[in-house]
Parts: sequence; C-alpha cells; structure tokens
Amino acid sequence: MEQVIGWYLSEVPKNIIKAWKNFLAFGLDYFSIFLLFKTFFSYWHRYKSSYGRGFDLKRYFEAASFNLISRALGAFVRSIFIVVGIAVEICLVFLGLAVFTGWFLLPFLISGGFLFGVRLLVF
Amino acid sequence: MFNFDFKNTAINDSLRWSRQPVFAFANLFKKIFLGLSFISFLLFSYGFLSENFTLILNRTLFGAFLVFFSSYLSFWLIDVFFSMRLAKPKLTIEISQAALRPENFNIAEFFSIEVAKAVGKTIKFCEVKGVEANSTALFYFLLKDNPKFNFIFSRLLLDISDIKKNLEERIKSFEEKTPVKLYASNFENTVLESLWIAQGK
Repeated sequence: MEQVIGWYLSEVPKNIIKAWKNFLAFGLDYFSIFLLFKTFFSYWHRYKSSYGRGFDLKRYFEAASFNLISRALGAFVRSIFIVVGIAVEICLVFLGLAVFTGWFLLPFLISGGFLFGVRLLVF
Repeated sequence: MFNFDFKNTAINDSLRWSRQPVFAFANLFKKIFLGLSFISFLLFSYGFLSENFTLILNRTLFGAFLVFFSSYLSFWLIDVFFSMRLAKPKLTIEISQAALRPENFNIAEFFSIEVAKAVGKTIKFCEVKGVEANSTALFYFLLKDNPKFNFIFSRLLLDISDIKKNLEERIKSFEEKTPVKLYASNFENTVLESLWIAQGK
C-alpha cells in the first residue's frame, strides 16, 4: 500500500512534470521562438539589395526601400510564428495543468462516476 | 564465476506479483470495459440524439457507460501501476558497473519482466526435465511469449512459427541426466553477452 501511495503521489506527478517540461521545451524549439525574437528584424530569406559603390541617390533609395520591405516582411512572418508558438505554449501549459490536476482528481472521478452510474442504473 | 541467483531478485518478486489475479487480468478487463463503455456510449448517443429510446433506457445506458468507463479507468490504473512500478524495480547498482565485474553482482537483477518470465520458465522446465538450464530452452521461451519478436523475424524473412516448432521439438527431446550444474555454459554465455550488449545501449 505504501508503494502504491508513493507511486501515485510522488513518482507519477514527477513524471508528469518531466513530460510537461519536455512538451514545453519541444514547443519552444519547434517554433524557434527565442531565435525568431533574436532575428526579428533580419531580412526575409536574406533578400538584401546592395547599396553599391559610390553615391547614387536613386540606387540608395531603391536599396533602402527594398531592404526595409524585406526586413518588414521578415518581421511580419516571424511575428505570426511567434504568436502561433506562444499560443501553442499557452495551450500546453493549460493542458499540462489539466493532466496534472486530473491525475490527483482521478480516484474521486472514478469513484464518483461509478457511484453515479450505479445510481442511474438502479434507481 | 557465474553469479546468477534468479530466485532472490526484485524482478522475481515482480513476476510473483504479475501472477496475482488483480494484475494478471487487469489488461484483459481494461480492454473489455473499454469496449463496453464505447458500445454503451454509442447507444446512449444514438438514443439521446435521435430520441428513439425512452428516457429510462437512455438513463440506463448512460449509467452503464459511467460504470463501465469508471471500471476501465480503475483497471487502467492497476495496469499502469504494474507496468511502471512493479515491473520495473529500482536497481541499486548501475548495469555498467555489473558489466565490468559480473562475478560480483547478481546478473539476474537486470532482467526486464519479459526476460524474467522466459528465464523463470526455462529454469522450471529444465528442472522438470532434469537437465541444465540452457540457451535453447531460453530462446524457445523468449520467442514463445514475446510477440515483439514477430516484427524482427518478419524483417529478417525468417518463419518464426517454424523456428518455434523446431525449438519445441528440440527441447522436448532433452534427455534426463544428472545435471553437473544448474546452468549450462551456453546459457551463462548468452546471459553475459546480453549484459554487455545492454550496457552498451
């Protein structure tokens, strides 16, 4: 009995937390959230226009506008993935919380469900 | 020296636990109750959505679903407890330590529950036959009770049922003689070789 209680109240919750952490770490890694923040304003697919040699105002504005759009596009797409990644992480937090609390509530849910079921069957 | 005391191991205790009806039939009951809860839920859903069943029948079906599903969860918990806790006793020493000096440690401690079952059956079978426990009998009992091997053998294009049949004939033809020792050298070598392979994994 001691083994059962130890397993139920200590070993399994530890494993759930470990798995929960793994899922969260996977989500962060899968969506590369930190990397996306670090490179938030980087060029989109490294599409970059060179300013060239010498001073040519037209070419300078062309390159500057192209690079600005490339950076803005990069930031826009990255922000979508960051938002999706964070949303997934939030879902995982709640899902983990549900599993964790569900584990402790399970004996009550089982006995409650069984008794209620019997009541519906008999009375 | 081959240090192998199967009877005094935690995994042998686990084997004894696995023979207790509550653990032996947990997996079977789990499947039965899951099936029953699924059927009762489908019937209840049909009655509830189509309104073809009477209120009392719907109530009974929902009650049956709750009872079956709670029973399923109970047996699932028992099964999980067995496979997570009882079937995997905590080891006091690392397998790498034992692989370095196998003569100083009881190698039987490192068996998984599936291997322990096969080894237990091998020892019992060979005791009854009056022969040393050997690798042929061990191989037979490992193949007999582990459906996981089917995949490996099918990938190797080997007919597992044919091999089992051959092994069965072979071990049944063992002739009784006074055993010099408990375990044949091929059995000892198989166990030691497995230990070295396992510690490399």
